[in-house]
Amino acid sequence: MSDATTTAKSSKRSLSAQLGLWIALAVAAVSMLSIATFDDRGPETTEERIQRLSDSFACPECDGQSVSESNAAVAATIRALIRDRVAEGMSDTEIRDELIRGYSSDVLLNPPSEGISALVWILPVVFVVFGVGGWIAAVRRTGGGTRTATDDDRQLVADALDGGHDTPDGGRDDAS
Amino acid sequence: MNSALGFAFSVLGLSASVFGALGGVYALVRRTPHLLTTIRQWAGLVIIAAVGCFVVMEVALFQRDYTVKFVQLVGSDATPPLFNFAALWSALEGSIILWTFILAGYVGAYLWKFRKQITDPLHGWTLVVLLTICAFFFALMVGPSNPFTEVAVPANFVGQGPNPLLQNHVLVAFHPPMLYLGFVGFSVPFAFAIAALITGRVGEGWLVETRRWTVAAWAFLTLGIVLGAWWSYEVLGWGGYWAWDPVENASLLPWLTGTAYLHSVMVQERRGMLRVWNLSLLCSTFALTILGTFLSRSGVVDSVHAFSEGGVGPWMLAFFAVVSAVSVGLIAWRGDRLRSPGAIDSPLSREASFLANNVIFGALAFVVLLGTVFPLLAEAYDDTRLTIGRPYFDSMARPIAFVMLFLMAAAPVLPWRKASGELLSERLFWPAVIGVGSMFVAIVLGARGFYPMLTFGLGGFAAGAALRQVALATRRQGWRGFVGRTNGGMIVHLGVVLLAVGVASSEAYKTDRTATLLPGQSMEVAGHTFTYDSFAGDETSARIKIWANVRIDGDEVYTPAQTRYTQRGMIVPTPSVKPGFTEDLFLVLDDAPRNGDVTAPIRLRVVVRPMITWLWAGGALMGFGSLLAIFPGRRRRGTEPVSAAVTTAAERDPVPA
Amino acid sequence: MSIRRIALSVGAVLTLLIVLLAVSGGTEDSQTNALLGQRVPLIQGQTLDGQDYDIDASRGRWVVVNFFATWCPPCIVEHPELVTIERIGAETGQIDVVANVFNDSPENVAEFFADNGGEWPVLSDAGVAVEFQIRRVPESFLIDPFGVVRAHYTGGVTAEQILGDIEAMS
Repeated sequence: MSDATTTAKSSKRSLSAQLGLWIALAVAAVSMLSIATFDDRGPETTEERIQRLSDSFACPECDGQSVSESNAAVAATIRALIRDRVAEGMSDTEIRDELIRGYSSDVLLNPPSEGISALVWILPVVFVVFGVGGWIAAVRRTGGGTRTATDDDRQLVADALDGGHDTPDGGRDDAS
Repeated sequence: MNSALGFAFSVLGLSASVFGALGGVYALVRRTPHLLTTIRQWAGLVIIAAVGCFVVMEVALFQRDYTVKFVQLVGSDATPPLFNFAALWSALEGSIILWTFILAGYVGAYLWKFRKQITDPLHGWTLVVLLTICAFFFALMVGPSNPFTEVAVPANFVGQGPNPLLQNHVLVAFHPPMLYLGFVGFSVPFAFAIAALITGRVGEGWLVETRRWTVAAWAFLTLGIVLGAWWSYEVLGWGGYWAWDPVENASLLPWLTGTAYLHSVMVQERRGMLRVWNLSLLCSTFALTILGTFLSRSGVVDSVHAFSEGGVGPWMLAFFAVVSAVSVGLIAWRGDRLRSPGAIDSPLSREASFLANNVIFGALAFVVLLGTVFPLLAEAYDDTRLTIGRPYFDSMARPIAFVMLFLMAAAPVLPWRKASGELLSERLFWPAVIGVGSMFVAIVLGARGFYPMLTFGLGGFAAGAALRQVALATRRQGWRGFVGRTNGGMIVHLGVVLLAVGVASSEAYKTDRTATLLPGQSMEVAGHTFTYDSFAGDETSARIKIWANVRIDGDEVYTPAQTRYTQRGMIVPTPSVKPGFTEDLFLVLDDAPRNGDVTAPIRLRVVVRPMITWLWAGGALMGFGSLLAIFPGRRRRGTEPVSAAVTTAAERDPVPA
Repeated sequence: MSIRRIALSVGAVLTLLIVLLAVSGGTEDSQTNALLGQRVPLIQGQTLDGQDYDIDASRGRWVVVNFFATWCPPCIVEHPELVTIERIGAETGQIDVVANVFNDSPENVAEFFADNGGEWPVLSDAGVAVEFQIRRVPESFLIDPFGVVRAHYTGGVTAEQILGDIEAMS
């Protein structure tokens, strides 16, 4: 059916009723997201903190696996260190610094945000900004509707129709 | 004997592909169609050579012909037949044989499909490009990574067999070939793209010709990646399935650009726009398969997957340079002809949403590539050593994945050219209800956490939009509403939603505990009891296997094991998994008594991952959906004048509601 | 921007990438320990026998700091060599040996020493292992009488090697 019939059908439900339904859906979505966010488990337990820290360090001997995933002895040692230091009441930064002192900054699975490795964080943002900018530029460019067929196009149609057996109908299989 | 024969086939393959390609170029430049037909014979020889290499190597593996270098490397008297067959792709040299074999298969399929149009310059150039790629891989086999080299056999040699990790699970027989079918499959659309650029026939005809090839390659790659994740989960015993390891990233990169292409190509078919962009996506997809092979097969990155250094690194990099130079050069040369004839009318249109899809897939590909090569670049630049691991990729990919899910919900309901607000409100209403409904069900079932909840909501929204399309199509066309590109594509979308839900729940609600247990002792994890019953072992000439009998909830016994492969002296843990619709219980034997002491304690690791089976199911559904998309919904000729019919298309093309 | 110009800039970026990848290939893992030539980190605390230990008490004598585990075959191989060094050190009064366990249980260590001899203090402190940047055992360090780290050994030591090095550096 054409745009006209679609509009006719949708206008059966009044615009304000539609708006109301959408607002109700949005309120439901936001409230469920907030329940999910704020009714989450309480403050981080020690066990969770140890897990989180172990996840954030690379095992120095095993090609990018994290300390928590690896079975290597050095990973087990670092896990033991993290457990000891957490029990001693050290902060995350202190534990991190101690490990960097030992195994240098490539023990961090998350590259540091200063120095040359800051580029790893900046470049994707630059990419997205340019990408979104390009998208906006592309969709705001006007003039598509006033374009007319070229002679090449007409020739293409003529050739196709001459030799054609089945009628082209614009391809139903990719209509929505 | 096998050495000589195999080497002879490699040389035959190299010379046939070089002569075929050169002869083809000569015939095309001189415009002598009858000469061009000889390319068929050359290609036939190439196929014979590739099949020959593959068969000779398999025969040598089964004959335990240790005079062949590669067999000495990965063969052994004790390897069971299935893993002996799969040993072909368990090391670098053999995987090049597999690559060449599959490439020859695609060349054969191509020759058969277009056997009547062989004198058409477009097909001529495509074959020239394909044969050039063949020549490169045969050159690797003749030169730097010759698997057939004849070597002396030490006395009493029995062989080490393949890497233990590669003879531990039946998935090894399927994951690499599937992945290679995907990687290599992109050679055909790439060759078409180059041929279209050379001949200047950059219209839409060639796109239609390659569409199914691209979907097929994409489907193989998808299945290959998901099977790889499954293998990693079932075999490696670290409790996860995806580590953002450089080799995994290398397989993901062409998948991302390939996915972007499959979407944006529809804009070109319908509206004639984005020509340069689509050609670039095809070329970069192929180039990324080569770059990925370079990264994973040359020893430049540390990875648990990487084969040891094989001397092919510089060749791969050089080939990547050639591919990039040719692609970029041709696009620059043909730039003017590629000028888009159309423009996008509205941000609320199918074409605008496909373009947004491309931005977001491009962004993810960029992040993955950057994270993978940046440590190398930083080291080359000023010797900085740094690691980029899972937390980085997770935090970058997460927001991108949410935008993808949102686009999957919005894009399928958008019509081409322009949509009104009322239309969107009408079409998006039920998908949105399904999205909010999924969140409600999740909340009631006790799910918490912002990210998983957002995944459930957006996943439901996207699934609603996909179901809406399939429902409308089947109401209109019966069973044909399931086939064809759009409908098959919606099935793929449903697979993606399953996969996303599986990833979100299995990560967010994972429980991971390790305990030391004496026989008879139990541990409690996530509401289940794991009791260590007893300890057992079994020995063959190839391996010693020991396992713990662990009773879950006082019921079934599972056996996490460790296997020591005697020839390589390597211990491989074999996890034991109790799969389930709602959760998987994953057991690893971390530490076993050393001297077979049955009273000693074991260290047992238990990982409970909710809904991880949804991930595998999602992958399977994506493969199935691709199959539906390949099946023609309706016959259509390649020369159909799609770009010219823009103005009438809107009238003729009904937009169902 | 024209397509040609975009293609050219993409080409330039790719060229840069290829060049960087070409030069970055094949870099060796530089395993030189950063402690060499530095003051020895603090090793202090309870040994597995419950004694107090402080490496500064060995100032004036050479110290061999050994990292090991009972599950590691080269550690088992090097153990008699360390026993020899300890004996000679005790005779001359010039060399001490101290060990730190790497991912192993105290029970295993006690059994190991009971079976294979050796009287030196053994600590089990993950922090010390990290501070000495231990990646895989066995690793040993030689500390001079002034408390400076002078040598680093991986994959096992021999008495001959250590005594020779001490002689050369004295």
